[in-house]
Amino acid sequence: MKTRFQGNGSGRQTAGRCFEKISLGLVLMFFLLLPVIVYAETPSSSGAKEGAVAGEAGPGGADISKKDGADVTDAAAEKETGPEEIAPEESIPDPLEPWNRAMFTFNDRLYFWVMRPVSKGYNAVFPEPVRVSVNNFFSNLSTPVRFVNCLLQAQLKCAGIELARLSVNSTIGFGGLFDVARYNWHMEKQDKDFGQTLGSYGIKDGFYIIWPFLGPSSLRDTVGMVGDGYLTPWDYLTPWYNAAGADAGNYFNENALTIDDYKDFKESAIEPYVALRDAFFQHRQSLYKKE
Amino acid sequence: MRAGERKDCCYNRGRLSRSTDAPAVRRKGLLLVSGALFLVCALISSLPAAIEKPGPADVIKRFNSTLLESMKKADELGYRGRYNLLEPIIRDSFALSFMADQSVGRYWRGLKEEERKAFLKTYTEWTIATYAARFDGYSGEKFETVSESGPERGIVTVLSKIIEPEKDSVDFYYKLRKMDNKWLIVDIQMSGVSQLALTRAQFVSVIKNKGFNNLAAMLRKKIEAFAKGKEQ
Repeated sequence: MKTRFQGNGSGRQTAGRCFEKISLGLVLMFFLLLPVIVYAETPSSSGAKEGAVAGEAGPGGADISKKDGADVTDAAAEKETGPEEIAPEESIPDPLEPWNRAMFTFNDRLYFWVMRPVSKGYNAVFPEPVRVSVNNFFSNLSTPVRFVNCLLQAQLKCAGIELARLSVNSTIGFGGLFDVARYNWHMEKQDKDFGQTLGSYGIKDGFYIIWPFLGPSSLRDTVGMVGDGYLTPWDYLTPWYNAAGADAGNYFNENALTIDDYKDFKESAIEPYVALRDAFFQHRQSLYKKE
Repeated sequence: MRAGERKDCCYNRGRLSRSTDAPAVRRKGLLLVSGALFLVCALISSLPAAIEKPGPADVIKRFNSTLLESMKKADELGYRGRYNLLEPIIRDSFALSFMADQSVGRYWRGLKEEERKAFLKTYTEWTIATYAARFDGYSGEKFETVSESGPERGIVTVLSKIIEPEKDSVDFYYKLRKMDNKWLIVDIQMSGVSQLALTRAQFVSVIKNKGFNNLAAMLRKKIEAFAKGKEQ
């Protein structure tokens, strides 16, 4: 496989054009979906709407919001929930639910039918230390993503740590294969991305969206993903399928390291689609709150 | 002679002090006895308190210890054995009634008393079954209770780590609240995800779309699946 970095010439132009097309597509999609975003952010969005649907449950149904009459209407109950609550009930805008559910099923089948069996084979051939090293290598290469986002969030210490990690791991860590900076100097990887940066500027999530292969995201994080693409060195590989191959390799190896996590998560969940959506938003919000 | 003199001298001194300071000595004795009594009383009264009211970190340590035992004996015990081992400690460490109430959100208030009781029973069994099924093996893990912070609005956070050899540790943030003079777990957060909020999101969605009875049925189905799938 050709894996040369393009310092100049047609390769970079091709990659640039490719990104321009993706970005243009996303911008167009953003404007097309703008009315939906506005709809999703209004007070009568998904949460309230779902409540109304519950109230419309058919006769003989077990819907408790109807069963006991007036004392259990959503509005009345809403007023009653107060200081006793430990975490407020939040509604997550999900106007694309039919699409998302279809993509959830697609990714779910992809995981159980393809990813999991293939990963099991991959894990049997390559021992864990090898897989960890591959992961370290890609992680070290993607330092620009974290470094630039640390700067964009005006977190100089974070940027300094990333720079120090890159220097240490690229040299003593044999080109990033070993995370020496973490194990010897306790310099933890700073999980920063452009989605978080946009969040730190006050830009809201928008709505929930599940992408095929990539999994759960939000409108803002999707835009963030494109931004991070510009900072990911291997995305500049040419021809395009080398970049795509590197992306796929990194994605596959990373998933192989935690291959049973999704299975365990699904086994524990009562409503896996809702659980994944809620866990995604909670996790992302916890990252912004940390800052 | 000198020795005898010293003897007399000492004897005399003893006699002298005994005869002149008798009330003072009695007072001293009384003071000593009352002091000792006070110490014994304090010790007795503080002992049960220390035993009966473990602090938030103690609750987590105790829970972790039983969980670890269950993991170590996983194969020997099987699913049912793990369930039986974990049941008392989960009932004792978790605010199950509060958590069940919170898990169905605003719908809890619409439930009748018998429905609440039935749901609490199912919720409790589902919680224990989840632990018994999930913690089904041991590969050198150990638990570490790292810190205790708070209380913040009545909630104390205990950070506990599960450390697996050659792997990254996983942080568990246990949220505890004092209820009936006892510290009880009300939530667990991992990677910024509140398990209670996660449960509520699912439960509320099921109630809204399928009704409360279906939620209870789904929980029971899950318990059965755990029992069937994990029975060894």
